[in-house]
Order: sequence, then structure tokens, then C-alpha cells
Amino acid sequence: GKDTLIVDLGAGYVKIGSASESEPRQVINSVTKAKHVKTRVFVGNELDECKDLSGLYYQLPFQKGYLLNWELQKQVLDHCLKPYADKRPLSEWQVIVTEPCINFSPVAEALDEVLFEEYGFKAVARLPAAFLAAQRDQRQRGVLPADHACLVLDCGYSFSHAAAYRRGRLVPGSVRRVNVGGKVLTNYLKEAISYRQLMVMDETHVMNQCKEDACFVSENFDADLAAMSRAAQRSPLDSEAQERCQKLCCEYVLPDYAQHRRGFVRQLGSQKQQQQEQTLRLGIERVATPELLFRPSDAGIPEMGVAEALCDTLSGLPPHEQPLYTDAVVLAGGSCRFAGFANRLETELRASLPDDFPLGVRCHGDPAAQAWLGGRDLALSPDGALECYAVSRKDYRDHGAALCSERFAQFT
Amino acid sequence: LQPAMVDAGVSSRLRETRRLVLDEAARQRRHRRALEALEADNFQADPHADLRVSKLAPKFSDEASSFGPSRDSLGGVAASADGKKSRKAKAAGGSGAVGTLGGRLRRNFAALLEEELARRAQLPGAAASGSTATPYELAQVGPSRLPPRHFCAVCGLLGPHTCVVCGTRFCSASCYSTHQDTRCLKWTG
Repeated sequence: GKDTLIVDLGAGYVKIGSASESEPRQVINSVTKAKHVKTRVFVGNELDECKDLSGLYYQLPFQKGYLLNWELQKQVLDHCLKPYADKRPLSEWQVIVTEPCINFSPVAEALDEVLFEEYGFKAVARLPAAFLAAQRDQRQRGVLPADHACLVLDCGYSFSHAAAYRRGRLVPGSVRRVNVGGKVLTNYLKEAISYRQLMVMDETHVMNQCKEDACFVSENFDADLAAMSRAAQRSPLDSEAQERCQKLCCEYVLPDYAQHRRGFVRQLGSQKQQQQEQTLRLGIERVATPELLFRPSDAGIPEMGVAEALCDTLSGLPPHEQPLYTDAVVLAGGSCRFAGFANRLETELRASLPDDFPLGVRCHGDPAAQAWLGGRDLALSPDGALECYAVSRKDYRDHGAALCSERFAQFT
Repeated sequence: LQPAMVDAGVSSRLRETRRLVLDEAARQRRHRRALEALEADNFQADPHADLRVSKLAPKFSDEASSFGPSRDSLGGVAASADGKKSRKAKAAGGSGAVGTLGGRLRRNFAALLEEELARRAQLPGAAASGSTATPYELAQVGPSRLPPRHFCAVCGLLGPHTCVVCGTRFCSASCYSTHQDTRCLKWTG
């Protein structure tokens, strides 16, 4: 019901909101230190109060996608939960909290323990984010639970997962993990710029924003690369190649924290460079960065990309059922937000699938919010679906961690 | 670096200059370090690592608990910078117990995975089934079926040519001379 909090606990951001809200608040999941502010740290979105966002040092509760440091996580969660705890004591709230597709028992048990014993929630449902995205898809398309089948692609901060869901449950053995996420993309962009133009290795925050503002997924990366290479050699370009180059080349004006707190993209030649401005010249980096999701080997990572991973998941499913899954490829996670992502995924999948398979890449709004929205749909569902997933505080006290692993393990 | 003397069938002038060529092992090491750098949460060391709180400053709460461990989460590239342990770092070490819920949670991911492997190996059916792979390992995707692309380290465009000394890719003579002048064997990835 409405007394449910949905906390999508991610390595990059916490997406939090109550079931009565229509969208989640995104809170950076970090206790951040600023170079010039020695008297305090910034917990979560307190970072908005920091005047100078250069040289930030992040302390993340997550490591390689798993929640390991509760010292830090408690600080961020306390900060996120405060507005809700003020409205009503936490003991009167139920909570849906997310975990990765594949979790470790110590991590899961620690999460349950903190939620029940430190925060004292009335009931807890610990569910994989991809599972919630599948729930969202089923309800958005109005498919009956018994008929539902989908593939979920969850691209987050630490990694990306492909997984198959059937009738509201994870298909065992269908999960595939690609170790490329927002973090790797930002680091790649930082290195590229630092090699070629300006030392920005310390400026994770700024370059992360640059990635979000300037990067997009190319519908044909090889063509973009060929066009830019020819332009660099001063060879003549046909009109298509010229268009590609024009689309790619731009300036990114860096923030100065006096007038601008965030950088922005500017078309070449549209404005003369102001005196105090620092700008970056961007070109192939704009598409080469998100390209890593599709081709990790571009950065020397010996793994297949997200499209291949989805096909790998699919190949493990019963052949006569595979078309059911390809009809719903659900996008979730912040790293799916790049412009052109859905289009490119569709092109790659279409090329790999038999002609007679239906293909439907489904994006039900902001990919970063899909898991949260799925949790909200679950909480508000009139058939009381949340009941079968939640464990009450009383049951936790009586039966302990074993009950949680049993109840929540239905999905892993 | 393992210097290899490249002198067979080479002119005496070139033999004078000791030419360093990175062998395969060194190249693999550089590659691995580059991959670790891609996984780092912070590039620089903790800016507050050597903060010393004046004894006269009022203590409102347990200050140790407001700072997490001063190493960056992976203890990778950046951490090598901090050699000295400040008072804060020592205090933070104490608060590590709180962060790991009384030591029940491992402090780093490698330990978590190791523990999971050990746990699996001890399960009754483990020896019989022969497979002790965890779901985490099984989910790991394999290499791509597509051949890898190579990019010029200097300009980021197609890099069909390889530097003989360090194995870095470049696209043209001008990018190669930039590479030789500034970056060959100097960029620590």
C-alpha cells in the first residue's frame, strides 16, 4: 500500500521514494570529500551545497557492484530516509529494497539485518532490480503474469546484466554479466581526454557530467570512425561522411563554478571562446565511450558486449519459447540513458536473430527509474502481490535470516 | 622492464644505443594495470588523508565514524600514493568494524568472493558434482566472437600500426612521433 518505501540501492545512485510519489529521488551513493573543504564531508546530495566541485574524492559503500561498507551506506541511507522518517516513524513503513541479480549471502544478510534491526522497518522485501524492471514491463504492457516473458538488460554503474524472466520469476542460469557500466565509461572518457587534451583524471564528477551531456550511441560506429579518420587525413569526404563529422565534433565548455556549475555542449564556431573559459574539443570520444557497452574489447576488456550477452542468455532458453522473450527486451539502469541506445540495441539484435523472431526493445520511461517504478507498481498493485515477497519484522524476529533467504531466494 | 638487447643483424650505430623493448610479460602487466585503472572509483589519493585535528577542537561525536577508510575502495592505483598513516587513518581503521557489521562482512570484494568459493567447496554435494563454480562466476560472459578493434593511443581514431617498443597502437607517422616524444614507456597506466 501507500506506506511503502521503495529504495533502489545502486552503486552509483540510490533511487528512493514512497509509493505515493510518481518518481524517485536520485541520490548519489557516496560520502564525498572536497579538496578545499576540510571541515566536512558531503553525504549523498549534500554535494549540491558544495561550491567547488573540482577534484572530488568519492567514498562509495559499494565495491564492484556489491554493498560492503555499511559505515558509509548508513550515512547515505540516514540522509535519504530522513524526510520519510520525519513524516512517519520508520517502524510504520514497509520497504522494498533492491539487490544485484546475483548476490552473496553475507551481503544479503547484512542488508536484511540493518533494515530490520537498525531501521526497524515493519516489513522488508529484498528483490533484484532486474526482477522489478520485469514486473514493471508486465504491468505496463498489461500482460497476464502467467503469460509474461521478457529479457531484462540492466546497465548500471558497476556492470550490466542480461537476464530472462518468465511468469514473474528469473529463469535459472539465464543471468549474464558484462563488467562495463557507468564507472568504466567515465574512466575511459577521463583517460581519453587526459591523453589528448587536458589532465582531468581527478575530475570524475565533471567528466561524468560531460559523459552524460555529450556522449551518445552511434547507430554505425565503424562509419563514424571511417569518416573521422578520413577527415583527419584531409581526404575528401562525401556528404554522408561530412554529416557524421559535423554531428560528432563539438566543444564542451567546462564549469567554472562562478557562472556555471555544470558544463555544456556547444557547437563549433557558434560563439567565440570567452576569456575565462576552459573548453574541450570532443569528436570520436562522444560515441567511442558508450560504444564500450557494445564492444568492451575496444578498451581491452576481453568480454562480449550487452547485445551479445542478451543473445547468449537467449541461446540458453528453450528454442520454441525464444520468440516470446525477444518480443520484450526491457531496458533498465542509468547507462541505458544514452541517446540512440535503444535504436542501436535493436539493430544489433535484429542482425543476430532469425528473421521470423519478433523483436521489441521496450523502454517504459527513464531507464534509471524502471526498477524503482516496478517496485512502486508492486507496492500499489491491487492484488496485494507484495505480500508474497515481503517478510514482516515479527517473522524476522521469530525465524531469523533463514526465512529471508528462503522467501527472497525464489527469484535467484 | 626486461630490457632485451636487439642486436642481431643490426648496424653498429644502432647497437650503440640500448634499445628497450617490452616483452610479452611486461605488456600483459601494463594491460592489467590499465584495466584496473578503468575499474577505480578514484584516481587521486584521499585529499584529507593527512588532516590532523587540533587537540583543542571540541569533540561533538565520535569523529572517527564520520570518515570511512581512507584508502580508495579497490586499494588500486591511487592508494600507492599514501605511505604514511595519519591519525585519521588509524582511527578509521578502528571504525572498520562498524562498517563491516562486527567483522561479519568482508572488507573487500576479493575476500567476499574467496569466502563464497570456500563455502561452496564445503557443501555436501560439491565433491560429487565436481563443479564448485559460484553463480557469480557462471554469470561472467566470455569473450566476444567479434575481432577486437584497435585505436590510435594519441588521437583515438583507427590504429592499424603498432609501436615496436611498447605495443601501443598509432594511426600515422605524425601520431607515432608524438607517441615517441612524449608517451612511449612514460605513461603509467
